[in-house]
Amino acid sequence: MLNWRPIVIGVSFIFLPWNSAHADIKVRGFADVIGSNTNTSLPLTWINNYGKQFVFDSSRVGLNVSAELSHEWDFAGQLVARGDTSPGKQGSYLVTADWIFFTYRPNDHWRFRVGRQIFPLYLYSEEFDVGFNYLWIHLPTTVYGIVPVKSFNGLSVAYSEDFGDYRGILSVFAGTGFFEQFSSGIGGAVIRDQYVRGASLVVNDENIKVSASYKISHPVGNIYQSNGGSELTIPFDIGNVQNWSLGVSTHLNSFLFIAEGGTSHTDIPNTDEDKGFYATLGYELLNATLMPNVTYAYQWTKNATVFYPDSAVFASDPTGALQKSLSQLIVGINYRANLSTILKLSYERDELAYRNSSLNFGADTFSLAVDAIF
Amino acid sequence: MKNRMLIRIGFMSFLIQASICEAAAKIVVIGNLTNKNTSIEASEVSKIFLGKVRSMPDGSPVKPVDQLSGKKSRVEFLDKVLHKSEPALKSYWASIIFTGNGSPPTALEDDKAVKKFVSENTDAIGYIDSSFLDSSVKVIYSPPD
Repeated sequence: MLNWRPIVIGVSFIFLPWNSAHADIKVRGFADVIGSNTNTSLPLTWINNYGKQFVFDSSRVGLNVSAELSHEWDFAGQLVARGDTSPGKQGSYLVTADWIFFTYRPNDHWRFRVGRQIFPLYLYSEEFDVGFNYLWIHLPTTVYGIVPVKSFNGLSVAYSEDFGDYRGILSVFAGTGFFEQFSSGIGGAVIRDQYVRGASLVVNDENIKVSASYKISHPVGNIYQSNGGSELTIPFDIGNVQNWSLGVSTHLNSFLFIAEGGTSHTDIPNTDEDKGFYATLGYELLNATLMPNVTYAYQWTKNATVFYPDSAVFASDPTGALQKSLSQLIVGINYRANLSTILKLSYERDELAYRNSSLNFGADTFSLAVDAIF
Repeated sequence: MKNRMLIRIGFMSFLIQASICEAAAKIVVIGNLTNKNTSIEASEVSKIFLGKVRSMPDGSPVKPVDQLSGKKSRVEFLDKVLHKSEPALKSYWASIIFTGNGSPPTALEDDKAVKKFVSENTDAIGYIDSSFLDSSVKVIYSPPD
């Protein structure tokens, strides 16, 4: 199995000093401090980081380094520290290189990229971290598909062409992804997303953007579960997983509208399948200083194990019904304190329902966030 | 009495002249004297300064330089050429930067610094108030009044 990490890091160390005399190196960052309080009817063993006290586990800090090595070549990397949800490690932070890659642009149409990259899928590429950090609207992170791998180590090629005011960008990618998550009192998962390949098409102008994407991969690994003091290790292999997504965003006349739908399923009939969408609407007031916003998201899933990053739910189905749905409603107001700082106040209602079961759980979360870029 | 009247007339003519100069002042996009592009379209200027292209229309490399936030020329450039507010531009670049898709142009202190940089770098283009124009650079785009 090809391990890209030492290759990318090694090349970085060789390449950067060699070009340091010419490289235009920039260091930037972001901080996203989120305090939240949740009341839930979920049994404590099924919840992740949810308690009655005010917690800051969703906070994150990012450090971004970019270097223009020449007119054709550049380098970019981003380290992000997030709350560690591993058992016994609450309050500490994990630092990961979300992406680190070299880009080669021989002209204004072609772009080749090698290294660890975010999937050029709409949600992953634009809203996953940056959106949380800086976009006005706090998007839910539930519509991700069966295995929420957000980056891969590999190669991508993109071609762009302008049609009047519109620009179309077609990109293809291939590589290997990796997913690791542990949750207090529940267990965790270590999944390698093998043989990843896919494509995306984006068409946009100044006001609107439409994106469609496809990805196929073969995730394998292990799921770990703690149950009554015993530890279970369950091999994870559900065949090929295919993901589709279609998204649109527009910012017109003080209105901001973002919506995306996605589906993912395996090759094996009657096993894992996810479908979901979200839509969010915001309106700028007082010269874009204030933005009230509302988001609704719904995910339906038919499988034994579902991962919801940054959410209350990270567990196998306690009812055995194997079909469940999660709906989220987020109402918030954001205040732009200055060009680099945004304050966000939001209320979120999550409802988890199981088919053929009377078990229905709900959670109410109030959160206050300060987002800053520097 | 007569002197007082002359002072008033002089002061008013100064104000009128100043306002005429203010109204006449406009930003222009400048290039190095060796730049082969005699003029470029507004949409091309916008693409270059938003990082959507890295070349001039003739295919030669280009290095745009910006001015610091809040400068008068920058406010006018954002309004008349990029058609974006400062917060919108900041948000635009945040999404580009934190996905690794590029960096905003380097921001220089003021019109003088931009003119000096462009005059000394063959690939550079920038924008300045037209009152700072001289023979060290050439105008490649002038927004309509």
